[in-house]
Parts: sequence; structure tokens; C-alpha cells
Amino acid sequence: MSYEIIEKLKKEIEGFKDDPKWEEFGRVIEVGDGIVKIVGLRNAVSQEILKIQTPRGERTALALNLEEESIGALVLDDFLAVEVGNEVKRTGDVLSIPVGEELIGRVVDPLGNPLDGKGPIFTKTKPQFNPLEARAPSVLERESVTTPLHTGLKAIDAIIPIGRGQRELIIGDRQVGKTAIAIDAIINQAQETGKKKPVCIYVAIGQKESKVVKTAETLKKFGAFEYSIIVSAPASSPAAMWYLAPYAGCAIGEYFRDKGQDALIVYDDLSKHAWAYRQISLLLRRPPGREAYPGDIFYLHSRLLERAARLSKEKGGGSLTALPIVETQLGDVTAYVPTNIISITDGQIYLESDLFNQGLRPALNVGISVSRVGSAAQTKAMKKVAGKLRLSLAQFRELQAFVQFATDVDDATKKKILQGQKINEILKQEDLAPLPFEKQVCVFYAVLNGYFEHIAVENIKETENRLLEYLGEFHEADVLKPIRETGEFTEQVETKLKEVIGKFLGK
Amino acid sequence: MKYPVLFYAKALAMAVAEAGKSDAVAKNFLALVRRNGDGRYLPKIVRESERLMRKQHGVREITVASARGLKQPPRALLKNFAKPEDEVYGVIMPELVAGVKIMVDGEAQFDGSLKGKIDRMFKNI
Repeated sequence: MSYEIIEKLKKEIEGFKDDPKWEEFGRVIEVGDGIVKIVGLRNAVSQEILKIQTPRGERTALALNLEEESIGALVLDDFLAVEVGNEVKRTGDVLSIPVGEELIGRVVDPLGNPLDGKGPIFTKTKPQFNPLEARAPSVLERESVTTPLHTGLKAIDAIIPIGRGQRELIIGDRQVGKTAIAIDAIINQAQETGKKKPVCIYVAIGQKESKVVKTAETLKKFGAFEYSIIVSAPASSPAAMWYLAPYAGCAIGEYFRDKGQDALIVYDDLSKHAWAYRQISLLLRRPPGREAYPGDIFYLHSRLLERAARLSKEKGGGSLTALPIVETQLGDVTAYVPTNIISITDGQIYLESDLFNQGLRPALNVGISVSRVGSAAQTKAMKKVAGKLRLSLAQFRELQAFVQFATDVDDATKKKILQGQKINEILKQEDLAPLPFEKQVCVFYAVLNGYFEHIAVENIKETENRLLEYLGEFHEADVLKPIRETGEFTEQVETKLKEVIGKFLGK
Repeated sequence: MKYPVLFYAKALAMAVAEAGKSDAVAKNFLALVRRNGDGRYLPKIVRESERLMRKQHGVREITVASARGLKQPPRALLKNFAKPEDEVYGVIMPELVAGVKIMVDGEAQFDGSLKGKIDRMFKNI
């Protein structure tokens, strides 16, 4: 083996033709916390990869600040090796990541290096190199969002539906189940048999490595890793990696989108991404603005999220759906980064600590959660069945607040409150248990049409589970399958479902 | 630092261009820098202003680096490359092992050294 290697090296050396050329170079004049200042390299372009010759070997940097007399660059690997006076050379390449089918099922860092110990990624095919910073599709290249992306969560699929190509923000305080919603959405794609299964990309920004491992294990356990990719910039990695991670994930998503496939990307979370960018900007001495964020913090996220789109048929008809996550402090959605991202995205799923503590999971605040484009993409069956769900819930919440102060309540009000409590019970869902949309349709049909009228609130969950079991076991072909395959709730199916629920409750 | 190095350097280069190299310009400039408490940046300021002045007059600073002392003056090596007004210096860099490396204005270089050749060869392997 060693003989072969030596022979190969010998051949390479013998065949080497040296052709020295004039080349531009610069020198490091300042180093600090992953940022270097370089003089020279007047023709370097923004986002260009630079090579720093350090005593411990070559290091890579990314040109960010192009000033009159110097360049501010971000060191992408071990910045402790860089010293003042080190020589810097241009490469002429902008930062890009190798992408391809072989990335599926792998955990990579924002530069595309494997982190899962499974060895090199591209062993069978040659990867394509996608730039981390790319232009978002233009108006003509896009099409409106019309295809649903089911999350498997009843509350979301019924009230705040998400479409393929949409950008839906998941926002809430810490520990309210933001990541759980995103993971459930990824897991649920395995159940999407009727449509193209999207490739899911989970971007972990500044998370503990143990959490990333847990996420990967969860995805494996549910068979979701077969169509998923994790891009991880763990808490121990430098700010440069945190900053680049969402762009790397997006570049991977674009590969599938541009191929005509559907992709789903979760950015977990963009608050940490904004912190990393703030750190980099302050070190680059860019002027600080509100909350010390630089002036282009809005553009940082808008240019990233604009790349999520549904492409026109001429462009292949692929889509990239984005689920950015933002963490709020004490429920304050009016902070700088949350308001920015709320205004960029096509809706938000707002999770509340109070609801979470009351046992309502997902702790969704129906009042301020919206989906601006999703209703056009909602499956007809779901639209028909759960159309009045939001109204029923809103009426229930209003009455619930009112009866707290009332002593005597009439029967109609009592009935409405009871119905609301039952709907609330139905909307409760454990994490890692996404429900296929056809089953959701049947459950909502039963509860909203009063079939659970004579069932006590505390027995609703059990009845729901038994009904689903019954449907799955005996009525897969005549009820569930037609809804799943056509996405419609025809009169024929409705009649059959009525009959089935009646029979089930009669038992 | 009251003003950036570049501002001082530009001001000095412009003053010299207008009034010519004189003791008065140098004295006044030194007094100004000292008054602003920026005396410790003087070497940097002078280096930068020299660079600007060279640029103004189309003069290049050419450095010829070699592993050991050259047999002939560096300018003789560059007779087809250097113009008479260019400033040519020679430096010794033992890490080059053999050959020469030519650097122009600290921004462009031609690496004809053995070290450069070895680096390029191993980069391709």
C-alpha cells in the first residue's frame, strides 16, 4: 500500500510543470477573535475566499469588508494560527459548498465537511458547487404557493396551513416546543405518500452538540434521516460558522429546489444567527445600530429567506419551504430581530409559555398565529372540514373569559364552552407523534359536527385514539385512502364517514 | 488616536506635493502629530505617506528577496523590468532556500524561489 502511494507521489513530482506567475498578495495587519485586517489585495471581491499562509499551514478567510486601504476578513478555520505579517493570497473563488444527492442522511458543517464520522461524502458522484450567497428567484421565476406541506400537527394543518415554498416563522420563548414543531414537520414527511417527499434540511445554529446528536437520533428513529440533512454549527464553533450555517443550508436546499424537487429547511434559530452577525460586525468595526446590531441586519435575513420560493414550471416547479425559528425573551415579539423576521416571512406560529404550562401542546396562540399564503395551499378536504375551527375556538375563548365572572350560564353557552374544551383536547398532541392529514380530517369532522357531544372532556383523547385505530383497521380503503389520494372530502366519503363514526360510537 | 494613519499620511503627501520636501513641512507635521498625541504612529504614517507619494509619481517599490546575498545589485537583475525612477531594494529571506522572489509595492509578487515551487507542487498533489 505504502509503495503504491510513494509511486503515485513520484509520478506526480516527475510530471509537475512549474509555471510561476505574477500574483496579488496582501499582509495581515490585525488579528482578533476570528477577524483579520489585511492590506493589499486591492482587486479582491466581497465574499471571496482568501488563503492566509501561517506558520502552522494555510488558513482560509472570507473577505467581508472592502475598505479603501484594507480588507476585513472572517477566518473560517483555526484563527489562533494567524499572526500579524502573514501573507494572504486571493483564490478568485466565492464561498461555495459541495452539494448533491449524497448529502442526504449526513451531518455536515457549513463548509460541507462531514461531522458524522462516516467518512467522505461524495464517493460515487461528483458534487456541484453552490455559492453560499446566491440571488433569490425573480418574480417571473416564481409561482404562487398552492401545494400543502403537512406538518402532521392538527393545530397547524387545520388553522395555520403551510404551503410548499412558503416561509413560516416559528416564534416563542425558550422551552415552549419550537424545535419540536419543526422536527415533527420533518418526521411527518415520511407519511406524505400522495405527493413528492421533500428533502428536509435542519440547520442547527449555535446549539449544544448533544442536542444536535439527539435530533439526529430522533430523525433516525423515525426513519426521517433517509431524506434529511443536518447542517450544524455547534456552540463551540466560531461565530463565522454560526453566520454561514443558514446560507450553507439554503445552498443545499436550492440544489434540490432547482432540480424540480421539494425541499424543507428549518433554521434553528435565527436569533443566534443575528447574535453571531452582530459579533462579527462589531469586530469589523461596522457602526452599531439598534440593540447594537449592524445596519444590514434586516437584509441579512431577508436575502436568506427570499431564497425560499416555489419555482415556475419553466424553472422545474421545485420549491424550498423555510421554517425559521426565532426565540423571544419573555414573550416580547416587538424586539428588533423578531419584528424584522415577522415582516419578512409569510406568517408566524406563535407559541406561548402560559399555554405550554397549562398543558396545551403545541402551545399555539391561535389569535396571533397566521399563515398569509397557506390557506390557498390547504387541502380541500381540510378546508371543508376545519373551515369553522378558528371561529369556534375564538368564540370559545371569548365565552371562557366571560363566564369566569358569570354565575348563571344558559344552556347554549354551556354547550359552546363544552364544545370548545373538546376542540382544545383534540388539538393537544404529543411531540414526535405527527398525524397524517386524512386522519386529522376525520377527527375534526367528528368533533366539529357534534359526534363527541355525549363524551366527557376527559375521555375525548381516548375516544380520538380509538376512533383513529378503528378507522385505520377497518376503513383504510373506503375512508382514509380516498381522502389521502384525492385530497378531497366528497359527499360519498362524508356519508361513509358519518356511518363509520355512528357505528363506532354505537359500539 | 485622534485621526487615522491614512488621514495623516494623505495630508503629509499633499503638503509635500504642494510645498515640496522642506524642513518646514517636516517640522510642522511632526509638531502637529505630537500635539495630537499620535507620535507613536509616526513610523506607520511615514511609511504610508511614502507609499502615497510613490503612487502619485508613478514610482514603484520593488523588493528582490533571495535566500542569500546576491552577486550583483538587485537593480541589475531587473534591468528589463524596473524603470529608472523605481526604488529597488534587496532583502535576504533564508526560508526561500534558493531562487528569488520579486515583490512590487507590497501587493504583487513573482515567486521564483524553490520554496514557492515546492509549495505549488504539493498544492497540486
